[in-house]
Amino acid sequence: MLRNNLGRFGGLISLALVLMLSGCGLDSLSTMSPVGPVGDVERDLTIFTLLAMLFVLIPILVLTLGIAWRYRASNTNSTYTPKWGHSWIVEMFVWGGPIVILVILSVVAWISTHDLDPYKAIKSDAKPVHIQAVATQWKWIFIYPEQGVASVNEFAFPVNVPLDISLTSDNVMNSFMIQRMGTQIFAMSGMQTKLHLLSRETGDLEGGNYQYTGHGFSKMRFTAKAMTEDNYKQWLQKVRSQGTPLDFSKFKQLAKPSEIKKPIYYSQVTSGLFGDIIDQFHNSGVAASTHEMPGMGHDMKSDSSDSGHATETAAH
Amino acid sequence: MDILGKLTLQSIPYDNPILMFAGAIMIGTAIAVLAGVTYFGKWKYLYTEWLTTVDHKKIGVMYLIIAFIFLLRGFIDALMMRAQQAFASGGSEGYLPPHHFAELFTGHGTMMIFFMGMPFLIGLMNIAVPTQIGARDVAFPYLNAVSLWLTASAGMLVMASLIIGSFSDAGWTGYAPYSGISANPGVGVDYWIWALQISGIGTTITGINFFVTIMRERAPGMKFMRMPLFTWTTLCTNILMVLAFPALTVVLALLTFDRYLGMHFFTSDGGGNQMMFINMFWVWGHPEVYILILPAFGVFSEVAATFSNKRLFGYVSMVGATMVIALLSFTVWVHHFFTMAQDPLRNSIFAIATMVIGVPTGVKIYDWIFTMYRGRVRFNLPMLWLIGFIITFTIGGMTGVMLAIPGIDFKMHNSEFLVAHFHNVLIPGMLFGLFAGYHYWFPKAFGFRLDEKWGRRSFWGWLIGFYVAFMPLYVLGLMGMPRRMVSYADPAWQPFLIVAAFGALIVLFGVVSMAIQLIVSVRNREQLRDITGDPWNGRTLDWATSSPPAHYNFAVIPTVEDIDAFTDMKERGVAYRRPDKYEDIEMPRSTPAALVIGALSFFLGFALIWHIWWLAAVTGVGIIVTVIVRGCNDNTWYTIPAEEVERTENEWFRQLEKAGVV
Amino acid sequence: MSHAAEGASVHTASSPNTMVNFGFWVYLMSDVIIFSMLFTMFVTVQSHYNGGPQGHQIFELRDVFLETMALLFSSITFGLAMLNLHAEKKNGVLLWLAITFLFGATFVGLEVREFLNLVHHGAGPDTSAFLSAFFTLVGTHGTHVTFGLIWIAVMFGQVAVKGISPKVGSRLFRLSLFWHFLDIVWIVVFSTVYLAGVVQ
Repeated sequence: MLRNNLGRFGGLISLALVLMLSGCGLDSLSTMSPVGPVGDVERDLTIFTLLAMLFVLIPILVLTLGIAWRYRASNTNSTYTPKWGHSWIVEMFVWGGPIVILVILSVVAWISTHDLDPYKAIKSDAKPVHIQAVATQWKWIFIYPEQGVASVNEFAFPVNVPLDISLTSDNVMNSFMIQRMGTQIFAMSGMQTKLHLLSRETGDLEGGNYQYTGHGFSKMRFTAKAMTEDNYKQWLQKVRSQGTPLDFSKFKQLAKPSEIKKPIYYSQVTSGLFGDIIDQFHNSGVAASTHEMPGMGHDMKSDSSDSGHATETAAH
Repeated sequence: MDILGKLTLQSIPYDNPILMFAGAIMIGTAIAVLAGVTYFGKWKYLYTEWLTTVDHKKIGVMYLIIAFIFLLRGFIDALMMRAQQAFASGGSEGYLPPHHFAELFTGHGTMMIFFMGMPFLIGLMNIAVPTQIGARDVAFPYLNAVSLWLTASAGMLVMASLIIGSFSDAGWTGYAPYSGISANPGVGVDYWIWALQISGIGTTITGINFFVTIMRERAPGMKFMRMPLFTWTTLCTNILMVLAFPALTVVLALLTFDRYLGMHFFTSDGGGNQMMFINMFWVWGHPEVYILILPAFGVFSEVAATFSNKRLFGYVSMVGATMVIALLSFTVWVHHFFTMAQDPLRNSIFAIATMVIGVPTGVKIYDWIFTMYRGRVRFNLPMLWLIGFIITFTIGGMTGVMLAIPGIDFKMHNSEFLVAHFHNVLIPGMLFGLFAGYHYWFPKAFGFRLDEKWGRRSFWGWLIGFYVAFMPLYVLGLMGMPRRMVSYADPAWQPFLIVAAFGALIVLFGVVSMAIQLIVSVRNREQLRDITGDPWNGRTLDWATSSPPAHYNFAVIPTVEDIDAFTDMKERGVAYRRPDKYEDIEMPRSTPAALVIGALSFFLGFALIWHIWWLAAVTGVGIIVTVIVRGCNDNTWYTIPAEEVERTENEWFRQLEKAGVV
Repeated sequence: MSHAAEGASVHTASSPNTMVNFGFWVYLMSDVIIFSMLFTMFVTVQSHYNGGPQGHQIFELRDVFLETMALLFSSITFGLAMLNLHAEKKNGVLLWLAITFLFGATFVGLEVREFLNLVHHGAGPDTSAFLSAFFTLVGTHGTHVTFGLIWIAVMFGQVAVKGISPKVGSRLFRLSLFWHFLDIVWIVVFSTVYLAGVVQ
């Protein structure tokens, strides 16, 4: 509901802005030219909030400069009331104004935050693609468990198909984002986080790590390739034919600190590799303790599809 | 034998010409200062009047010196980062290796917050608060000196990291597990830990000290609702310090145990919980933002009323808003990591709590504007900083509300947009306020005003430079550029980064102007002399003393009957009243104990960083012994005889008569 | 106590001794934050055993009970020292301070023995997050008690040398605040760490 309203509103405004900026529009701002539903809402939300805040900003700018100038000391024609320090009307206005805007933005924040929950599956007729993303120093490894393949720093997927991404890290804390698709999320060692995305446009999208992780951080970028279904199948074929097998020990080799220039393909991935990467930080016997929640995640008791935010262990 | 722990000759970065050059300048300056003191035979003066003093006014000045040194260092770091990012595009790696770049952004943040912002605001508190409430000193003058020297010794540790070993590369927030021993085995993080730990303990002590001072040392008649706004914001800030800094102490200690004793608080393995680091860090970290900003708000309230020649508008609202901000600052820490996969319920609650802070902040801004309304606004330097602040800070607040909404933060977090935002609140909200306070109270501390012409140049340099440097970062954030990149492939980012670097150069003009302003003012101090002690037609008690105030501040403690106590006294004609008879005044004695504790803390920190255990043991025991010896001393006060008080006061009254005030 | 006791001016708004005591209260509040952060950390990771031992496998309730008794009795004996102080009986103060010190030292000794035992049996602080938090929380309290012991020794010396002056009395009062505060913290430690650990 909000998504539609915001969308219509945002669309209108962004059109106006684009016209205003004539050419130098939102296209050059990757986070403001989304390719999927998540990014759409986030863009509209950005524009809506910006405009709402202009209602605060502009009066303050005008009042500050206007009053400071009008009541400058050299202007002895202006009224001077040195003892005046209180007025109920003004007080009501200065407290009331911000509160009204706060209430509006709170409603928007509440609805949009629930709407944009990264753990929430995107509604679509297409069957989602499952991908497991692993952050290492300083590469992204994408495992396709259903296809049994993996790639490094190249993230291919079909358009108009929901992506169900699970993330973890082999070492320190990383943050995963493809700007034009929207929403970043931390990838943390010994834990799994989740993210749902979708692209409706084909093309190469810029993605990367947003959390500083050391020397190679700046090079920890990857290309997200949104493809047609056919091209995606060909890509899988290419990975299978060009790649080599990947098991845990080869993974640990790959995970050693390094930067790579070209994508690497893996034709065969040991099943359960993602879980093993998470479990390497847990002593046996502890992995069963999925009942407890570190930090402030979702309630683990709920067994709906979006349960278990940042669960400590990937039980499987 | 490793009598020097991990320390070897290889720890000195000979191979890095930039660091060696910086180190040479640092050591050269230090030697020049020491030589100068020796040449002019000022060691005794320096020792008795400054190094061992417990006088809040001198301690305040020393805090300001620390703040300005680190402002320079932090700013040079910023210039180097801007230069690196302006060049390191599309295949070029720039002139800085990644590790050095990481040390720069870590050092910049750490220094600007802990060693520029904190000493600056604590310095202003020291200079202004005791006189503003009509007290002769703070509640615990000796502890005040301890805080100062702990801050100084922590600052020395940061300085030492420049040439011995290296500083942390984990960002000023030092998120685990990147700051843990397995990912970061060097001494850098240890420098960061011990510098923050030592200065943090000093800050906690300051918090206790000023809280008690304001609660118990106010002049008769100064009820809570008659306290000047700067005193109010200082009170709230110090409550935050007492409640928040222990959280930093704990999170640093736990990280220390992880690193030194192999414990598992924030490690990936062993059952550690890295998310607890972030939570606990920001439980301190968000109140810290308001610790930095609230005193500046207080300065602005004083400035707005004084330079509008008018009562502050909405005093009760201002006080209420300050308290609400202080309270809410503990309820919003999660907004620093909306992207850590909390459920939407938690994110929404913290988002709304964050936006609620916008309300009292907005109220304050309107109240400053309405203070100018129907006033007689004088555009002296403090007023310029106020107007620059209101406009710039409101923009930062706007982007802050944007980032408070998780859906926007999801794509802006960790990007240059975030960098632009927090500079856009901290530079006007904290730094402009501190500069306003610096210009406002400089005559009180030193007895002469600062030069207006160079002050204006400095203001415009900072203001314009700020916009040129940071507005492009907003755009870069929208373009998806992550923060902390040493180099980048996207050529579309480069023009904006070049503009930003140019902006940093304009700020440099502001910084240089400020230095020139100080030199010019010292040279012209006779023309700029503040004879009466009240150069701005002040409204609060701090302007009722001479400039600089006598050691005891007030020969007779004034009685307060209005919010604008001094204005009220001037209007009733009771300002500058001579008492029938002067009395003896008891004041705290100078002591070397605080200096000794500070010096030992430096060596303790250094020993712990380099695992020089014998030195750590010796200095640790030394600190305890010093505390005990000082604690057993019953003779810590001395008496200024009434005749001496009378002589000092007569001198000031002669000046007042000459100026025609009395 | 008189103004002259701490030598402040008569113009000071409040008497310095109450001011110092007030400041000490504020310090204790900041210490409360330290302990509550440590408790939070402990509660968060108290079941992160990492394959290592659990609470009920390593806690010797008998020793912990002895520790608790030692500390509780030390609070009572400190109270007796304070009663003697108000009665201005110097030797009584010295006697009860000494006894308090012995009880406190017993507590610390038992705790150190417990820690050494655990480390000896391979349950050191580096074993698991649970044990890290256990050693840190209990150890922080123990460190406080140790500093309390040093303080008691110093005050013993002051009373012995200077006798009972207002200043010495005021310092003893703050030491008693500190000592009782540690007692209260220990009761929370005892119930959340040991009792809850054994019940699990």
